[in-house]
Amino acid sequence: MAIHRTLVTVLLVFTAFVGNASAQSENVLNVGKYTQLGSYDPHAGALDTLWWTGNNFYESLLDVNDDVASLRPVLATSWTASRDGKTFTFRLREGVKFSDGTAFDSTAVRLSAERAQALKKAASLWIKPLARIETPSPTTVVFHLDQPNTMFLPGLRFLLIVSPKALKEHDKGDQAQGWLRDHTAGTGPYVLERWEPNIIHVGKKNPHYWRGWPAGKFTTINLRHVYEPETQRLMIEKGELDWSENVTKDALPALKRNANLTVYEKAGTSIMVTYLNTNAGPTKDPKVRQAIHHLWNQDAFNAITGHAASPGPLFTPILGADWKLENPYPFNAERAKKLLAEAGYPNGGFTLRFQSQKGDVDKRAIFELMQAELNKLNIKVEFFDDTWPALVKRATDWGATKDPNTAIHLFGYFRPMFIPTALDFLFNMYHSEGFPTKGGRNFTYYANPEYDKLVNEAMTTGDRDRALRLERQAAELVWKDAAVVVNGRIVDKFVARKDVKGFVYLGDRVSFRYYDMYREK
Amino acid sequence: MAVAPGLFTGQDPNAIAFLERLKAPSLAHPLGTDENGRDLWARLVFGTRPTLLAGVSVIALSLVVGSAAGLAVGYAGRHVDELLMRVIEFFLAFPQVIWALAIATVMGRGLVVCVLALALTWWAQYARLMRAQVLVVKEREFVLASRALGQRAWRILLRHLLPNCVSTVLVKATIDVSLAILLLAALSFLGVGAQPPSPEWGAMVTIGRKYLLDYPWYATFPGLAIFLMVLAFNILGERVRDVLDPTSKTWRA
Repeated sequence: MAIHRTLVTVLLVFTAFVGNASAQSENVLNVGKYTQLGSYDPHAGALDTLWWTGNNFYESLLDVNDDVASLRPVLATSWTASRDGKTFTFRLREGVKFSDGTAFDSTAVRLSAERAQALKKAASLWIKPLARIETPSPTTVVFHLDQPNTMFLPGLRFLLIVSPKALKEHDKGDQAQGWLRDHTAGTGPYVLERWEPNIIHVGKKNPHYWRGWPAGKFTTINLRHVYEPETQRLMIEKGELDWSENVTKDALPALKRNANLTVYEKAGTSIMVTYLNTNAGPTKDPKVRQAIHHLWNQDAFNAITGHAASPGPLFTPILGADWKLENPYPFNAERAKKLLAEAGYPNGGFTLRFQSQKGDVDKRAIFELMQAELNKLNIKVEFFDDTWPALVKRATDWGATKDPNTAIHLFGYFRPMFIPTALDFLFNMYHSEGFPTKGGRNFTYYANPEYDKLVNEAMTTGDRDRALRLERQAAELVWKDAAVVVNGRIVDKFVARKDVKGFVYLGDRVSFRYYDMYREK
Repeated sequence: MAVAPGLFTGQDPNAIAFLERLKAPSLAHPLGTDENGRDLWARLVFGTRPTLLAGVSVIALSLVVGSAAGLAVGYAGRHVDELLMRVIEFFLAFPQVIWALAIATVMGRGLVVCVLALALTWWAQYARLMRAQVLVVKEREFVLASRALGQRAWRILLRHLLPNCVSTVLVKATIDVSLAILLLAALSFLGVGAQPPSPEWGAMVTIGRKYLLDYPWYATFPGLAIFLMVLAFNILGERVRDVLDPTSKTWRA
């Protein structure tokens, strides 16, 4: 009888545990990430911090719509712009609180903007034209620019607002950078509970989130770093992951046959390029860069990865559906050989270093294809990979010394369109103010005054037609200079468990709003 | 196959053929193709040389350096022996793969670096074994007689001690080649060994593993090749031991 009672007790406890676990897992979203993160500080981190945290932990006054083609209010409810394009007045949303309970107001906006400007990292680049901020009331903030700039308004997407209370409490003479690196204090739906770098990020629901928590929303998000696509695939097939962001073309047929999974294939705004170092080594010579571009086998890349060609060094449809940019670099080994000879390398005879993100099979494919063609011309290519933050840091630190002995000559990179303007690419990727040392993504360290002039004029002119002409000229020029090898336009692939719904594709493989997703019962 | 791979295949192991990628074994591609359309049989054939050469190189280097050290240490004795034994024990204390990874991190990736890194840790095993042999043989009458006759130390080492001590280390060396091949494959698996586009077998298993679920031949054939080579060297090692060991049945027969 005593044994019987013990057994029943054990059974009940076990059932309660299992039952409880099942109920909890309904609200937990397990994600297999594609990329990695270096810091959670939205004003001190690199660009990856902005889109990682800006979709789930922090918010700004506005954001892009689901179509990535227009803007929508978030922490602001509306805005107006002056005729001269130099003044923007925002009406702020009332009743919003940060995750620590502090009320959101215009002072919070001002403090975050000033902090971003002071720290001079990625966030500051997006609000570079900002000269002065006024806060005439708790629900009104006015931005004054020195001159009009068409990137400013959409760029505000990446001015993420941090709780002033957190900034003050955790300031140890470092403007709270130490604390904000691995803690969050935003108005977004989630709060960072735990972060083991390169392993897992755990976000819990922000109880003060102004959009509320209707039933069915994920209250916990586990963002797991699983570098290998095949491991992610096994995990999602077994149900250990609910959402997988690192999916290869080769796995698609089997995944599509799986009745428990939903496969998404979307052609978005992302392009894939290989940055060529314009400051060191053989790639300093434009002829060498052009030769390398002539060795790019687009058809092979498309067949291997399932991506498509990109007709330009940016998301070209943004410059008009009727506009066609002719590819100056058809796949032509003879032409490449001729250019190398003109550059003084008739027989090749040098080695290039290629760095790539760990776990990224597309960039690995780019490397293999390039190496195969370059090897034929007696040019060796060395490969190494690392986590994304480590690669960014290496490329950024190199900019301070420009030591030719440690130069990376080829850097595989993909770039979505974060704000709906060609300048997102043209400024951030190729302008001299977009060097990584200044928070940008110009990893090639391309600096062409003629190019900069075109982009500067495009940014500041109020004439939309003129701006379009200037942007197109800039795109042609940077491609002619072969600052990058244009590798393709990405077709993104994701996999979800069948019961996970609500995914909205934002045009790339890094921007996800987990709050929008839910588990269907 | 390692000496003349061209005799076994007419295909270029590095020729990318993107329309032929991940094809199953067929008449055109007996072992199938990889993710870049490269013929796996050709890559296996051409990979024999770097795989075998690397494994043999590790052991050859370790054997030469270790044996020389063991000979000298064992013959010198006393303080020299004490000091060098501590050095040997230091090198024996760390797992080889960890050593090799650490060295590759500093010196850079590649098969040559891994060969040097492994040899750097492996020589100590041969030194210890050779020393043990020398300690026994150096007390034999013919060695004592040579010393009494005033022969120089190097002549005693080379003419008397080395021939009488080398058989044991040779047996170990033959068997160790298979272990070296496995360790090098493991280092390639970890990404520090052979670099692309080298068709080294360990590197092929590394990449092929990613396609194991849907294209199992990719990792299976190089893995099988490693298994067969390791088996062959193990059997060779046993035969060498049988020949060189005077107490074995083969020798007596």
